[in-house]
Amino acid sequence: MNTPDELDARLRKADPANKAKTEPLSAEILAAASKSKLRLGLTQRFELLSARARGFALGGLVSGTAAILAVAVVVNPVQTPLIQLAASYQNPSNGSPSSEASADKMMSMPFFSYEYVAGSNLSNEGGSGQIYKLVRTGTPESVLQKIARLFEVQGSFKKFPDFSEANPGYFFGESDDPWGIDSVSPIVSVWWSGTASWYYSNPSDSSISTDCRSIDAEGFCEEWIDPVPTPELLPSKSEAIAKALEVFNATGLAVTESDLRVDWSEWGGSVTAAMVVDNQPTSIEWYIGWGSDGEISYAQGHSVVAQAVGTYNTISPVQAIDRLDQWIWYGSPPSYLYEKYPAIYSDMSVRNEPLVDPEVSETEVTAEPIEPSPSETASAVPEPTETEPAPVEPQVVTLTIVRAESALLGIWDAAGDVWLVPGWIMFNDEGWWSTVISLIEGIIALPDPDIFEIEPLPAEDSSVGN
Amino acid sequence: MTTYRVVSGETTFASRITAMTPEEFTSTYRQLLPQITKYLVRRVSHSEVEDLASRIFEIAWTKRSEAPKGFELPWLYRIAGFVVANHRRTEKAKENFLVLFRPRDSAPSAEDIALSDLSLSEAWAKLTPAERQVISLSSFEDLNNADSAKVLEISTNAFALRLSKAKAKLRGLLS
Repeated sequence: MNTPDELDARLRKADPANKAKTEPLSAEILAAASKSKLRLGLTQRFELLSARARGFALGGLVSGTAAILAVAVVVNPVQTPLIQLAASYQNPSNGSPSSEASADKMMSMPFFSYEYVAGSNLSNEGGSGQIYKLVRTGTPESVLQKIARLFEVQGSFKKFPDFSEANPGYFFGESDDPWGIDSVSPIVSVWWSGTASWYYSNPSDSSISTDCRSIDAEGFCEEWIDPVPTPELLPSKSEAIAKALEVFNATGLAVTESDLRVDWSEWGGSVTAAMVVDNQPTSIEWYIGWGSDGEISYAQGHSVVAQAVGTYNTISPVQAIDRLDQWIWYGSPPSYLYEKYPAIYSDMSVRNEPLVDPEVSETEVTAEPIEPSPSETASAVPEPTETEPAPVEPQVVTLTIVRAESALLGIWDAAGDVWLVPGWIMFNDEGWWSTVISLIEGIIALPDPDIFEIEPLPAEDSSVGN
Repeated sequence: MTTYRVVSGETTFASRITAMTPEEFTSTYRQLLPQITKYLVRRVSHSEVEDLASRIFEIAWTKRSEAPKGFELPWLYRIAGFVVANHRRTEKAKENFLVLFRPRDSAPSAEDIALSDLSLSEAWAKLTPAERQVISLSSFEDLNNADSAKVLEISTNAFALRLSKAKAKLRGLLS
């Protein structure tokens, strides 16, 4: 009695309804119901609410526990959710805290389904954590003027061609066409939603040369000239660090050299620093980069401050495991994790290899299709059916969560604002990690879970052909 | 997947259902009576089936505007789960009021299964109420993962994982 089919058969046989000799209910029960003057009590109305609505009503209480037994350390008890989570992590600005979230959420895993279990050392203790709202500072015009002065950009203040209230983008520069391919003058831009991300872009930077040495008769390049680095044009690493500190501190990020991540080579380099809130690095980052000609080619930052909203209860890592298979509980982690623990990318490349029958070798694949004879065709090709092909069942992979680290995770709300909320970085026994918001239910209003349904891919329809 | 959108110029689904007559209600839910009968038979004594069924359909009538079109059975099962769980708690709370604070339990009990398969019943008793619930929705109520997920208000993927874990545990207990 170990196979799934044997268990299913045994369960069906043991169905308590099989041996029941109860008469089916009469339709009169329905008529009587429609005549009843049933008034649901408060408890019944509460229980019949959706899970989300119950969370709203209870605020900070843990589900399944009566108020009299709950231990609440919430400073600001909520009657309604504090945050309405955005239904989609798509956002109009680049370099936002949700860019990684977008990438991760779009990583559909059609062939694998993960089952998570708690390691023996995983903590079962909940706690509490501070929530921060990232509040935009200044105005689009004042921010662009400051950045333009910093990078010595000439021009005037304009709206992006696709400007809308949902996508409020502004730029400052000489060109009226910020995306034009012929535009060679630098511009600064800002998207006035989320963290008010600003950008400096200098398209006049000479990219690595891709000249062609010889062209064939058909006009295609036969031999490319290998590009040559020009490190003599680059600033020194210490000069780049000094410039980064100047730009970052002038634009609202108070950092020192020890806070910087420097990536430098003979081709160019970049300096990155994360916003730190309450001694915790966040996914909000500033960046400045140099091209091979030694000029600053790109920079970005944010015009925002973190405003503490209150302390709220959080669930334990063990409890958080139940959320790992629900992507609506995802939050953007600090970027240093991607560099410190890059295993996730190597793992995904292994898991996403196409499913092939290991028994079929390449030599068995026929080079030419074999046309069926007319007599074979008549019987071999069944009538198309209206039933849908059976979906591919995902392979279930069991992962043990071996440890968890607390972190501030970035999330977007439905109004286009960004919050930093307590969360867990959950490390599994395969060496990669996932993030989970750790706030108890009721603080965040989740979007419709239907939107995040992960539908299995349909199987190849093998009923036709061959 | 059912979603609802208000379209300008069209009567919303909710307002249409609110206008449902008793005859329409009977016509819609008559075909689901056998399933609700079996649902209750699996969980309560025969003498209690009709009373609890009346309760379920009274609630369904009261909240008929919330019934999702095409998913009436999972929606009824959800109501039925509350009714059964409350009934059990009410009965047991007469003996011990702390029962009121335990997790909701609306799955068939080990005693319900014992008549057919004693060793399965013993293993079933060692499952948590949530584990019994997911297995019963799949194996007894014979719902697919999507409909079962609607009963429990979780994603289909989450239900599939919970079912897989629960069945694996049950197989382990039986081996």
